[in-house]
Amino acid sequence: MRAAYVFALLIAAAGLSLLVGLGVGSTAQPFWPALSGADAAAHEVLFSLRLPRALAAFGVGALLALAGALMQALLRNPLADPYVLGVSGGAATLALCAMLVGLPVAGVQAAAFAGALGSTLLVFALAHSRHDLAPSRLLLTGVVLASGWGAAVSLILSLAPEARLRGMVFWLLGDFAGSETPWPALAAAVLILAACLFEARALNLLARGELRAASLGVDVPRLRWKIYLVASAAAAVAVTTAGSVGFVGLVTPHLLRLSGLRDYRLLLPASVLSGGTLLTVADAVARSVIAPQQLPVGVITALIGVPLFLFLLRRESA
Amino acid sequence: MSTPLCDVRGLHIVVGGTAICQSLDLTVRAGECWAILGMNGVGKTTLLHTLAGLRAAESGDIRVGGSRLAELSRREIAKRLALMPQLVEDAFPATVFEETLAGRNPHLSPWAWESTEDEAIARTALAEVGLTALESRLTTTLSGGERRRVQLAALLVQDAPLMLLDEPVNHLDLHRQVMLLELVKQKVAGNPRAAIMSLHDVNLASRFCDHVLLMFGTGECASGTAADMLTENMLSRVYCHSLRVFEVDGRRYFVAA
Repeated sequence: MRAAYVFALLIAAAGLSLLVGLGVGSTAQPFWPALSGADAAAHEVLFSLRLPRALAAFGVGALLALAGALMQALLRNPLADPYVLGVSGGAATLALCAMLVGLPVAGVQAAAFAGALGSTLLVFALAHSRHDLAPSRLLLTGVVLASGWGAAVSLILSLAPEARLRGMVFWLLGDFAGSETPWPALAAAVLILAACLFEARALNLLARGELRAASLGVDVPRLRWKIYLVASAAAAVAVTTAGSVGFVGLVTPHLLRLSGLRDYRLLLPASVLSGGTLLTVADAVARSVIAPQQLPVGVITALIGVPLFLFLLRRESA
Repeated sequence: MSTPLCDVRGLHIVVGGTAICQSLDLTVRAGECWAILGMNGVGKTTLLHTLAGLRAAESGDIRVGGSRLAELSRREIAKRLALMPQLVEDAFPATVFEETLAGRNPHLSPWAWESTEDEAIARTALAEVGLTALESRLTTTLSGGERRRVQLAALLVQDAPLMLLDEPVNHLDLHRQVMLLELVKQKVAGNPRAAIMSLHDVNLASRFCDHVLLMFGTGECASGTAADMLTENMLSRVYCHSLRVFEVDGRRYFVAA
């Protein structure tokens, strides 16, 4: 009953966030004439600029929250998310390389995707030992690789010509200006959610430990591979669409757990809704707070995410 | 005679170059309650995990309910045997009821949610271990002994013919040790079930178990009826310490000399 209430709230918030995403922008314009088509120019801004962007933000937020929730169960660590594991670092390094040699947007996106998946495989290959895959080793390998990628990014930034620097910095901070179509992110979010709902009860058990899950009938090695690949694909699509946006993947599942959604069968769809909502609102803020100038959305999520996360951590230890 | 619930032939287990058991044969039939006794680090947990199919043995054949363990899916194994682990991680909070209900997993198809019948089974198990009042508490807020009882409830809920219990009475007070082992024995006696449990207390083994597997720590094991195994001689070899036996009210008690 409580779950139904929370879901009604989340769906309403998601709809509202999309309305805010449509209504807010770098140019102020009356909402209703634009929506009805009475004001043709405003109508154009609404449907060919703001709507795709709001939907892209929603899709990316959903993917990041999903990836975070999955990684947390996989590593049994509430601090895990694809960024901590170096997925975004790998994507950033290759994307900046592509920018350095002057590839077009499509080339940069392809490089980011390759970097995200490549980094994932690297972490998995390095953390894998003869017997099994200890979550702590996986996490450590990811963290160390992430800091390696961080150094590579700094190196590229210090070598890059002045003209390319601004584009690079915006990409690193997360930005929807370059995302042309929302459909890959939205489609990926829906597909990945569907694929994972099938495993949601097994994820509940995996979160209690691999031994426990296995003794309760879960094929752990198969599930582990599937979750890692699916979560990395989610992160890769997100990074490709919007660059590096932090904290949504980390914070969203925790906010939901605090509101009583512990069951992964509920947590996963709720993560999709609330991750999407959070990022859509953050992007609306990024576009409007010092309009007509736009801020990178990653700055807004970090500004919201850091205090929120520290607050949650304090609360947990209290 | 019916198919044994657990049939082990020529089992070799080696961990880090040390033999846990060598050519171990073991047949566990319905209605039997087995104790595994041995010193710390002798490999009781490793043996239980191997019997549960959670780790591969070096060689040997393990059959559960007539089928080779290696040929069964995890789900099929979980319907035939249940393990109460010694340690349970709790990185994420779950309530006592959720933790108990998790035991129903092998009986549910992937898309199914727990039915009211499953919930009734979980409530019955919680009542049996005396945790009804703590049903909605988070397991992270429980004492060590209360957590053990949650794990036992989850084991009962799994409803498997073969129950493997890894130090089930750890952290429990005297009264609950007796109460919980009484409960396990009652589930086994006269039912198509069996239990194998690792214990540290010889007196509990002698009181609740009819069969005993002794692990000597050299890869050598001995198994048989409690009467044959629980002798001063055998136990002194197991614990590398001499023991004395006292008889009070027709029951034998073992005390370190």
